[in-house]
Amino acid sequence: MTRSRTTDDVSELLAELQGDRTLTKFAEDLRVSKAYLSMVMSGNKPPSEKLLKRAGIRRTIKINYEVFPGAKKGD
Amino acid sequence: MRIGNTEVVFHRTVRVPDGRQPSNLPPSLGRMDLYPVAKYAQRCPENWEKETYFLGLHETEAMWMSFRPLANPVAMLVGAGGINALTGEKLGITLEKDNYLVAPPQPWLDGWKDKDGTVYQFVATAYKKGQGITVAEQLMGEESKTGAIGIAFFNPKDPLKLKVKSTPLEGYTHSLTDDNFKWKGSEFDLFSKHIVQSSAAASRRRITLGVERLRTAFDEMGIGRGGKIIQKIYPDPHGLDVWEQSPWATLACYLVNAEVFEEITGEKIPKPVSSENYAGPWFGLNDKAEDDIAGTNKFTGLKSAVFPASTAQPDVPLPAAVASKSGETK
Repeated sequence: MTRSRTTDDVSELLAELQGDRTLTKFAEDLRVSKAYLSMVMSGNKPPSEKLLKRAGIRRTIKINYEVFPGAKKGD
Repeated sequence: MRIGNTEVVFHRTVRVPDGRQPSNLPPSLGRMDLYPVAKYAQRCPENWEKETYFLGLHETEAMWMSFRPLANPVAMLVGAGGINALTGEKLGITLEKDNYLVAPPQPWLDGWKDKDGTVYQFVATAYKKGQGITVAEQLMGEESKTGAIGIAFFNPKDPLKLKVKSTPLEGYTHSLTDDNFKWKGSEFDLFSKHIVQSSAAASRRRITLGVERLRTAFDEMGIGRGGKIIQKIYPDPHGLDVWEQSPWATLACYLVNAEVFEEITGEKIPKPVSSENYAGPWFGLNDKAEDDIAGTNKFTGLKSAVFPASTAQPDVPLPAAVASKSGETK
């Protein structure tokens, strides 16, 4: 599996980013609902691109071009 | 295996005959576990990336895949050897009309998409660097660089806006080809009392390996074209615009034959089963009212990977019955 950020990875990153902040404060800072953030951080919902952007997480996928030959380099 | 919020399972199954009449959906004879290349790097070819996986199967063994999103619907591009299983085009990472599956409603994929509600079963065959009869080698020739399975996963942009479309009702019959299905309900539940463990897990055993060595030459496997199976690929009920443009994750899984698999992992895998040696149920979905994507003729004239596997193999024990296609109680 070629992936740079799994749901679990993102959960860990978000937990690091949260630091000492409460979940309520962290959700406020990210402009998402506390319930949604909790779901993402527990791995029960995939994070949206918007959330990743607001959290400053850059998601890059490593593509195996032999397995996905139709992908253009740089995709 | 869980990837993001989707559980993907590869299943060993019964090889269907390669005749004109399409077969009903074959059962699961056990999961094919995916092994991380990173864990077995010392015994895997150097060109296999550490983030990839591998699994073992026999020559002419059939397989299928199931998809179960644990939260929101997911869109997937699926292929093998670099060929998209629904279009016959090169497998890429961009969703286009009818080149991908959406689960739900799509629960399974058993083969290469043909027209008229059928697929050609996924059947393993040796990958020979462009000279073999995997579907990819027949379509791409030496441009084909691997036999590996690839899946790209896409999340919806706004999951809350999606109205989930359910998977049609599952049913079973004791015939390879008729459509007298008993749909999941009272009769189906009665049948499910006969559930037994899959033969795959029971027959696996670990052996002690000798001196560890790095493999430099390797017999990779790929996916060829098997017999026809009745299976629709449901069009995306949500539309292209709802999905993220880039995949959330990709899965690359190399295939190796049973011998090589045993060398790498120390585990044996069960022998494949053809329809002549299978006495259990066949499956179907109550989906006559559902649409099917257009499909393609690209796989139609390709050489079959089934021959000569359709001959009976009396030494192979009969697999036990299963209660549902996935072999799980539902």
